[in-house]
Amino acid sequence: MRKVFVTGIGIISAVGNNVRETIASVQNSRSGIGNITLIDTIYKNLPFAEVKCNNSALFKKVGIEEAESFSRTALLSMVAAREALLYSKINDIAEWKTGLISSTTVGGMDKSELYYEDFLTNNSRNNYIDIHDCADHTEKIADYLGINEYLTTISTACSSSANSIMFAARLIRNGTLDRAIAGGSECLSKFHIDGFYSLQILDTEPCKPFDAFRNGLTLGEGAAYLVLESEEAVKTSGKTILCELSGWGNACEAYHQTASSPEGYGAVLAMQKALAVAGLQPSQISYINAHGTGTQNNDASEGNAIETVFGNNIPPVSSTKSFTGHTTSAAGAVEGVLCILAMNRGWLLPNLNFTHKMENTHFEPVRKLQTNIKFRHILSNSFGFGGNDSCLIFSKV
Amino acid sequence: MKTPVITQFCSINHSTVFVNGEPVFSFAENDFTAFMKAAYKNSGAEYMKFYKMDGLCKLAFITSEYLLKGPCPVKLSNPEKTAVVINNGSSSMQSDVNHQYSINDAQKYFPSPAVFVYTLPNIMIGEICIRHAIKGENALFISKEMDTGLLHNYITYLFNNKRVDSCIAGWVEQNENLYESFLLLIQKNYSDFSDNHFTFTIENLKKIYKQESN
Amino acid sequence: MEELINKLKEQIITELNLEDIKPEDIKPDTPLFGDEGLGLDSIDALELIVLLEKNYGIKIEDPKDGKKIFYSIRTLAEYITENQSKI
Repeated sequence: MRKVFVTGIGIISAVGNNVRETIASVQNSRSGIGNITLIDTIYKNLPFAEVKCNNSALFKKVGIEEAESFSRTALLSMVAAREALLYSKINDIAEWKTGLISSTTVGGMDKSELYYEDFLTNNSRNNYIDIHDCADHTEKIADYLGINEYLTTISTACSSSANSIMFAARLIRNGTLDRAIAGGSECLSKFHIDGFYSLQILDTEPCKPFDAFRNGLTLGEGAAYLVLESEEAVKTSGKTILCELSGWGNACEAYHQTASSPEGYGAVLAMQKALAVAGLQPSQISYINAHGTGTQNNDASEGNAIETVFGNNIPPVSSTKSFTGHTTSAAGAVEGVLCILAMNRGWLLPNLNFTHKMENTHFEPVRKLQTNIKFRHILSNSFGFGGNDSCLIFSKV
Repeated sequence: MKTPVITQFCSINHSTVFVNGEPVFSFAENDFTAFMKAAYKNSGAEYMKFYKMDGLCKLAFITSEYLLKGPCPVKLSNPEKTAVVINNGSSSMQSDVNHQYSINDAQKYFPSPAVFVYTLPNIMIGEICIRHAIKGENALFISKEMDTGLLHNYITYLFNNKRVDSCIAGWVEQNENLYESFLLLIQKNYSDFSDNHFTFTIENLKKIYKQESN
Repeated sequence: MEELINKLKEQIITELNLEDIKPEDIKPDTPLFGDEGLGLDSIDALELIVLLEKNYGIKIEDPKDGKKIFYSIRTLAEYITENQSKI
């Protein structure tokens, strides 16, 4: 079986505009959750995890004229994807068959919701119409980085970027590609802020995953990408390997459009599949980065699923959404990058804001950052509306 | 590893439901919502949740209903090892617009949670899975038109790596009165399948889709 | 009260897309949620909160109160009668 290795990471989120800033935030247990400043929403009293960088600054980072029509989703994605490529020291894209698999749900909605009236009444903003679609940002990254071998866009809500990474791994494994940049991007928008509010699942305080008094999620934004390479490509280049992507799994909860079943059966199946692909027993997992949104439903369901899979041998668990907020489509990749940083730096990532154990659960999450931890395998969950449950496993090499 | 087979297919376009190439239900008017309601009633399904779905999900539901429980009903041997892989072009555009309308006017601000839950194209996969208790892998890909190469590549991988025993796959697209769906049931090649089935090759996929969409 | 109960039946059928249900199918004391009743779910509960605000100007601050208020058409009608007079 062709192995798949991670050789590059790129990230922009509420905790930092790049890997270096992200490391500093994590080391200081500094959450990115705070006030929303860039969107004029009627819910500005609620906490959000905004990327601390307005669109003008993002344009500068990517070196593009502001007059061009780019969604914030595309700008964030270009920043992170470029960082991943640089991290991986790829100078010649065409040296190996290299693809791009990205994901989003919001896409260009941040602009469409601003200019909707103009679209209908005048021609002044027509250049923003075409950038609305999810695949637009993928093409923008491809043009920016010169990738043209293979492109696709996945849209499965909050499991999207985990699915992008999984799909990229399969394309490498079956020889369609030798390398891939995989991940996702999402920016905040009134459209989904208002929508999540109507579902009554936004906490009025910063989210507290797995806490008995949790009261909802905190919406965030960001983008993250991994550079995945085949064993052959890596051996030939002799470059540093960050870790192996050793397992992945996806399953359908088949319970409700947006809620998870009490037993979390879809999550159980996804984790079991990932373990099977990796050839691992649950007891070999060093740490679980949970989906852990902070909603009553997810955390209870995921808690039960973890206990079903791991029995009495539950490894340390935490949700990093109390750092980054819930970055929705980007979550799988954002949290994947955090897992890879944790693995390489020996960090046990904390589940901030936790104080009280949930009822009917036998574990409590990691409270404080711990260092000098040795990891073998890390498991990361991402569950999307529609019951789309995904799981990734990263292994130390 | 034997090539999997396409054991049946269902397509819906121009107010008609086709199963395995044959028209099985037709509706006189060119009104998508009315057509879906009539097709639902004709299917004999008793599933109240149907009425809550948005247009995209109704189309996906009805297509999978006729595919699995229509004139040639099929019992999935292992719903936990059945995947659903769908390709779509406009995402959940109609629900997105409906949601946007409900939040546009600050004076009449009543966002509907029932509309918002449908502002994700992959919910249609969730609806198919809930209906048929399917718990296998699911994926949704966005592209301008049906990407037969991608679907073939992805699904072949699933079968070759023994991830699935069957797969429901295809194209579902809907935005108001513009709609088209095409779902196939692809199954592991057991030797008792008749020679009438198409093997799951990219040529056959293209051929069937072409004849169904004309 | 009877008039309000009948009006609520129509509104619920429309707002929750209960197409195959007629007003006479909904008894005033039948539970709205759960398997014995209309089988409404958590999203329907949220829609009822929106309906209360949109049609009656009553805002429910805590969705957890919904369980009592939305138990049946009658409990909902009683809640509206009680709270509308406060406005």
